[in-house]
Amino acid sequence: MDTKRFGIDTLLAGAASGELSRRDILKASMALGMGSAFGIALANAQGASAQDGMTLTFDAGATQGGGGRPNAEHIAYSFIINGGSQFEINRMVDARLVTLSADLQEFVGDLAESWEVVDNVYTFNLRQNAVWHDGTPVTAKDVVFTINLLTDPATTSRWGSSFRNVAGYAEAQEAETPTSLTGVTAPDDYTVQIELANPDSGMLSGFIFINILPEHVLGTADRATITELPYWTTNERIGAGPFKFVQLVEGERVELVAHEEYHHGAPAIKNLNLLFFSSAETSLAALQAGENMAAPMSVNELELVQGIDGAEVIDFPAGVGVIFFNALQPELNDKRVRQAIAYAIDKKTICETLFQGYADPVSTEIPYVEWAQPDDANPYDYDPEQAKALLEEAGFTGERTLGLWYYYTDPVTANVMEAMQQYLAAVGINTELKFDDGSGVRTQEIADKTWDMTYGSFGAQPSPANLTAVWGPPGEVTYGWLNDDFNAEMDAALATYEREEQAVHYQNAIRILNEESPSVWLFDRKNLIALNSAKLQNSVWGPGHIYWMNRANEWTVAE
Amino acid sequence: MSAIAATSTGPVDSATLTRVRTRPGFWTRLSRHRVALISLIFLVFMGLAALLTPYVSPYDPYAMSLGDGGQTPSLQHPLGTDKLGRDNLTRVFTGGRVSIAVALCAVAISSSLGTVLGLMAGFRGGWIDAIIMRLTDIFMAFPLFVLLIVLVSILGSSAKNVVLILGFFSWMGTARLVRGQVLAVMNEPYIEAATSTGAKADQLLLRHVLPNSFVPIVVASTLGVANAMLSEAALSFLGLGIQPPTPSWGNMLNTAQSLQVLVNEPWVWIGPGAAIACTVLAINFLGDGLRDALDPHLQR
Repeated sequence: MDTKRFGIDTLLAGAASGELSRRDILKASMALGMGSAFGIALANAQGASAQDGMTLTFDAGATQGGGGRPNAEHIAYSFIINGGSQFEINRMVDARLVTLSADLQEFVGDLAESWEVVDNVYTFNLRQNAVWHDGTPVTAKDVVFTINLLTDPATTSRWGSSFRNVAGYAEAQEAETPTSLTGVTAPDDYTVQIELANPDSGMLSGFIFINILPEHVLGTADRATITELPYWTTNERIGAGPFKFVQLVEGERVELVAHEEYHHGAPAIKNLNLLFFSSAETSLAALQAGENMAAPMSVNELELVQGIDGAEVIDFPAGVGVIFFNALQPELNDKRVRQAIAYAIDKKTICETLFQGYADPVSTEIPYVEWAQPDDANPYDYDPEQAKALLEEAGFTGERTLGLWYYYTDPVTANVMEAMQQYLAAVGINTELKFDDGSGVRTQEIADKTWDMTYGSFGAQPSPANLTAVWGPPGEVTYGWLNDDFNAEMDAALATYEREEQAVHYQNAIRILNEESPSVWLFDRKNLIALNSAKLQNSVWGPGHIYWMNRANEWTVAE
Repeated sequence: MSAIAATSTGPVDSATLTRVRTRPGFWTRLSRHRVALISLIFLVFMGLAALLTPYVSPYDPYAMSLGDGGQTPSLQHPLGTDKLGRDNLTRVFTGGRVSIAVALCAVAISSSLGTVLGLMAGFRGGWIDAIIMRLTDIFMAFPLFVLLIVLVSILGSSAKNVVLILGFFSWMGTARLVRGQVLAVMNEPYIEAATSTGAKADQLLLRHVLPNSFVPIVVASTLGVANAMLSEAALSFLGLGIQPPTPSWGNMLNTAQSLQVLVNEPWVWIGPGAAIACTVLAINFLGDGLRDALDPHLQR
């Protein structure tokens, strides 16, 4: 894969729980092997109270798409190169300008109290009560610094391209010395203005993944080597999130303490330890033993968890399960073959049986964004005869066995993959299931453009602006599919800030995707957490591709 | 076998001849080893079950039936069904077919390779011996299972690759064993006699040395099957060996990594788990029995 040609859009497509982020993490953590996980331990502020030893665990491997156990290198790497949302550690320590509501319906302010767009200028009004962990106020200069840092080619951050439509972006990419974007300014301490060279109504999508960095700490750092600073994994780390970084014990835990001046209110939990577990099973076993307060689980464990005293199953959106195609392969370049694959898989039965109802069949990519959905989309209901007819019409011979990659480590995905393999075989499409264990084979296939299909995830947002990531020009390098009509509709949608006008163009764009099937959208899935709700209270979870521990400052532990 | 024993002893005195003649036959000797006999019967049963399952079982081991998934044991499904609604018992026997075939093929490769290299090293000696033995040392210095995982990751997971990797990386024990046996045989008086009567190298090798190295090869190969079966099961258990939908005992056990299955659905893993344990145990017992029955130096 040509990493330099991948921008924020591509990552948004993977949306933290999606394929790209995991691949990137795995690239950095190959040696750590697969299936690692980490969890979170909670202890009372006083340390010696009855709450000692209570542990909240959850599988951060799931939030990273099953990725590796984070170490110092990964934390910094994920922060700068891939964006701050990669690990829950970063999510707890840092703050963003905007984030998503738990139901995915809208953007909500984090450091930004409000924002407006007038004449292609975004104006963000910052909260005046936000302070860094060292007590310094968070100001507009920090936001400007962060944007300039990420758009500096020296940092090689994938998030820089979020600002590709900002005035001065192109010049900054060409400049030989670090250059500030002319379009990003701070008229006063609590106002950030971003002037666009081209209209971009989807720019907020990028901000939900970008953590704001302190200029007074990192302002003089060499940008090319910024990820190598001890800053990221020592108590030098200064964020504006609900918890302060205390220390990272490699392979064991990260210790955090409450940020008492957190702008959304001081966390009720004063000490928070993020523990690393060898597997999701271990953390679930620890929950069962009463040592943990929350653990990741799959629907296969429902009966087990229901038998644990005080345990409750929490579910929250996990992103849409999608089969991505490499349209450069001759067979998959024919939309009839792709449509046949959509018809061949009985999504409804898989949702009812293997997902046990914790997923819904879908045929478009953003089931949450109702206003952008066309009401005449083809649902691609299970119809093997139609699938066969389309394959015959396309002259599909089935001589070649198509590789179908997947990378989720949970048992439900393994069953779903096997079921899909059989459904496809029934209409004459032979597939080989290929599990990506992080050894780099899939990465190589993508680089060589020899891969066929990948089952992955697409993270839902309040706006379909991130569709261009995979199906627009940025995605072409990997997916080999480009459609001028689709791009024109997306451009038209991004060029207007009127919801009704956007809806018309987004619906047209989604109609094209629905008809052309450059990917097959399958299941709107849920993440599941086994929670010791008798001890942990007021907890909000998800959406899984943004963060698992949502509004952690409001969480409390029962006495 | 008594023929081999007679041949191998070369020129012998009459007392020895009497001893050889009165020594019971192979089957008699094997049948005296009760555990080996029971093991053999068990293995024959497993082999037949694996071979005949597709013709006898009312269920297709591959065809899913999602509505029937996760059933508990019943008369229709003695080991229940898996999540895709397939009969677990049918899949255990079908998995045996794969596991046993993979192990046998892998051992066929490793034993052939080990035997040829061992014979060459022991028979030729000198620099050939030195090179082969150092090569053996080098191969043995690698932790085999780690090597297997790395190679499978690189080459891809398939039955063919598992067979080839297991075959080409587990010949070292056989090679050493055969070399040692050849060195011992080469000092026997009948070799000297054959050489003095003008026997050529290939005659010596094929008519005297190889037949007299046969017993350790058979025993090592038998035990090798057990090891190969365990390696395949471990790889498949980790998701790196035989890939779905093809069942193997290892990949069927893979589901037992889930705590739910481990604790609440024991019928899912008891079948393949017991099959692996019992088959490997039986092969080891049979190996013991074969060694006793085939060893010409043992009276009983």
